[in-house]
Amino acid sequence: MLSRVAQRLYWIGRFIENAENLTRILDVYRQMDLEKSGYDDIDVWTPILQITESLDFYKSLHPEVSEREVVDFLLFSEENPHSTISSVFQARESAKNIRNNLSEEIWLHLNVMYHGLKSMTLDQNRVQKLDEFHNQILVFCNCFHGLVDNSMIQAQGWQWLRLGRYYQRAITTVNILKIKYFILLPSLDDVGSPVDLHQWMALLKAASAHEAYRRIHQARIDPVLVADLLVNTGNFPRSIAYSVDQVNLALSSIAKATNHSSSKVLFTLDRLRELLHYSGGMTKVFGQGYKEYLDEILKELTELQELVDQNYFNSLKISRDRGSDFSLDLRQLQQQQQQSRL
Amino acid sequence: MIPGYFDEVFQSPNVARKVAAHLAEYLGQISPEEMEVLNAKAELSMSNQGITFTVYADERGTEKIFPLDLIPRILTHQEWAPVEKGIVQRLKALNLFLRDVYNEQEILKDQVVPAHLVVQSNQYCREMTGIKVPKGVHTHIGGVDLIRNEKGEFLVLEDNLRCPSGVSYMLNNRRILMRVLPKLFHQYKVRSVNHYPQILFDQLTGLSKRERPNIAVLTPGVYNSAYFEHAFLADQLGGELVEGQDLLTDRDVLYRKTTRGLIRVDILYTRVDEAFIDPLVFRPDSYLGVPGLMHVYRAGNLVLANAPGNGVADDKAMYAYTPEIIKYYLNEEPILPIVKTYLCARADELDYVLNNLEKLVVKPTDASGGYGLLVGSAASEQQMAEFRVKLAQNPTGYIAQPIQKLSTHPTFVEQEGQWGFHPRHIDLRPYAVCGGESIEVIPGGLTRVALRQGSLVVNSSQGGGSKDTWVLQEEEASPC
Repeated sequence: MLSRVAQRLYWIGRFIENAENLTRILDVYRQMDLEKSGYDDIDVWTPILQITESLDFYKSLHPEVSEREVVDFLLFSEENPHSTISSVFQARESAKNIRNNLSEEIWLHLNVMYHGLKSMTLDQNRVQKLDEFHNQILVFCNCFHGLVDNSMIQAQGWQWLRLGRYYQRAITTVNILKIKYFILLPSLDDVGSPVDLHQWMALLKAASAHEAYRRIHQARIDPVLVADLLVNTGNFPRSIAYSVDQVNLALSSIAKATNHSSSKVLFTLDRLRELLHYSGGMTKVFGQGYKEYLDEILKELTELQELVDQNYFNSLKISRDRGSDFSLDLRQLQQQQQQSRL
Repeated sequence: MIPGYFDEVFQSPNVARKVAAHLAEYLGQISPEEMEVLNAKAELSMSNQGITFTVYADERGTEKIFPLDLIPRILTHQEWAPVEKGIVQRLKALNLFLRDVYNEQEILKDQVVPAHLVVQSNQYCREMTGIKVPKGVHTHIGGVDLIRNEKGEFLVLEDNLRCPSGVSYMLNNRRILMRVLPKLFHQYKVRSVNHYPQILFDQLTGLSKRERPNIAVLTPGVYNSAYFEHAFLADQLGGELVEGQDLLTDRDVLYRKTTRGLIRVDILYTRVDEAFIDPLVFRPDSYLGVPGLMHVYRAGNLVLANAPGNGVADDKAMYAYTPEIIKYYLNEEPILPIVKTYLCARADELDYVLNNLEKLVVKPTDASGGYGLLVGSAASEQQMAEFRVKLAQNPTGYIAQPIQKLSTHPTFVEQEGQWGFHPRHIDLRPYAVCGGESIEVIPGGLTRVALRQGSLVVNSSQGGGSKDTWVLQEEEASPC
């Protein structure tokens, strides 16, 4: 498979997952914002900008952080490359570029959604429209996954979509857990208070894990159990552990298909799994440093991304690693490329 | 029928030609309403499959369907056989011509064709000189545009030796007609066209010196008007659809960049304009091509279809010399005649052209797709005046031909607010694939139809549509 095609498929998977995750998170926080009576000083919007790594960009456009502007920025801004709408548009653009690697149905689905979003307006009935949008995106993304699973050959291309989807989900779940670190409670006395529990609950909802949590642990919210569900419950599809398992399966299929496995990838995956099933459990993580723990997971995920880039998207390096002899060096290659961009 | 024109279905009003009897009967039975239903069915099928082309003039790059008229054009074996022979003869000669002008240049030394017309042409590709292309094939895929005059004779209007497009429409038209008009197929023994990808594959792989050659189709990308066709052909050939950025060259070998590393490419079917295929040799600002590609080609490690530099042979001025070219290389009389052509570069012929503009079609020698031409009979005084200035300033840039009486064919169109069958002008573009040993013409081709009433311009970019073209099997001689 052409590296360009693999890369595009991988990013389509990430874009679609990002579109869905962002929409879910914002929906929950919009509701939380409405309900926070008595805790007016809690700013829920800055943390969301922080975890989506768009705080600086947002601040360069808007002097103040307000519900309306943040929601518009994260859902609808075409300027913001990470917004829901931008994600769908970029997925469609990528799909257009590699159209014959996707089934006709997938392409049609993306295209219909694109045209729908392009013609959407929010001027009247904002609240109602936001709800509609939320549902629309959820249905769209899940339909997309359904079509991917049911209309494509589950060969290398499919694995790339799967890799992108679950890689993005792992990152998002880590980031959702990080929100709790950024939203500071008014005072230490508030740990375990209604507002604290309210926040943990919101966090569960943002990861669509509220129902799953209740089934396993009943109605009482316990931060350790919440983290436990989202981090290492291997049979819960939104947990980090589940996502990493899927990433692992996708990567090993790709390694088989390309006849190219990398010990570095395996080591990184091992370290990730070790972290997720940390022997002390979440209680110990809470005692030792919650943020540091999440940052460690993010670091390994970033490492994994770099390895994928090197191992599959840089063909000259791959061939060299496998012992083929080429006279080109990287400098020459870049010159060739520059020459062609003049 | 339009008086004075050859109609392919009716020999006189209401009397169908023998071959078209079943078709005429069918047209007589079907109502416009039924026809519209079939039309809608066909259009939906095309739009769902993305059988579209992009109209450049439209800023948003809207994707449009290339209109298909459902009424097929039928040719008998007797009509087709000389066409096929004529095309083979023509392409054989033009291939020899291309090999000659880029190597020994015998034809120029023998002064059959004026040397300046070849080597000073801006289509002459200096970078091709001395290259021994695989098995001497320069034109792998050729399209020859034919018209039928008022007597029903086929004439060559133009050769397309660079990269004739439209073959995917030919294949899809057939597929759609088989779905929409199965009844008619039962009444005719229609020769198949869908083995085209197989023929192309065989001819191209036959030219490679590698045992199991790798084939790739090079596209400029998704914004090109024919992207659909590129993707379709890559699919059909079982090759990879690549862009310039997917390829690199190293020590005179071409590779594509894959998740398994670099994989060799032995045959490149390029749909990128030749000026853009290698920035080291041609336009340095191009990033659609591959730096070093021509070096690989020169080293003999690549089959490049079609070869660069073919424009020198399908140039509209060279067209006037094609009968001499055929006689020179093959020592045969041309089977298919050409249209009388005035070279504006010659003073006496320019004189004639300037004095008879209203009877002529004036064409720029270096354009295609029906752009920049003047149809004298339909032009305004102002347009004529503009062309007179152009002709005087740049006579070598133009040729002129008598306005041809393109044959007509019943077509389902809207006229005076009502849908119905009306005669529209058509041409024919059959496709041929040249290999090292043989030239194969696909029985059929793209019949292009000028959908506007009275229009003689059939190009898709100028509001033309297409028809499926049926070539019938040879009738078995009836036993006495």
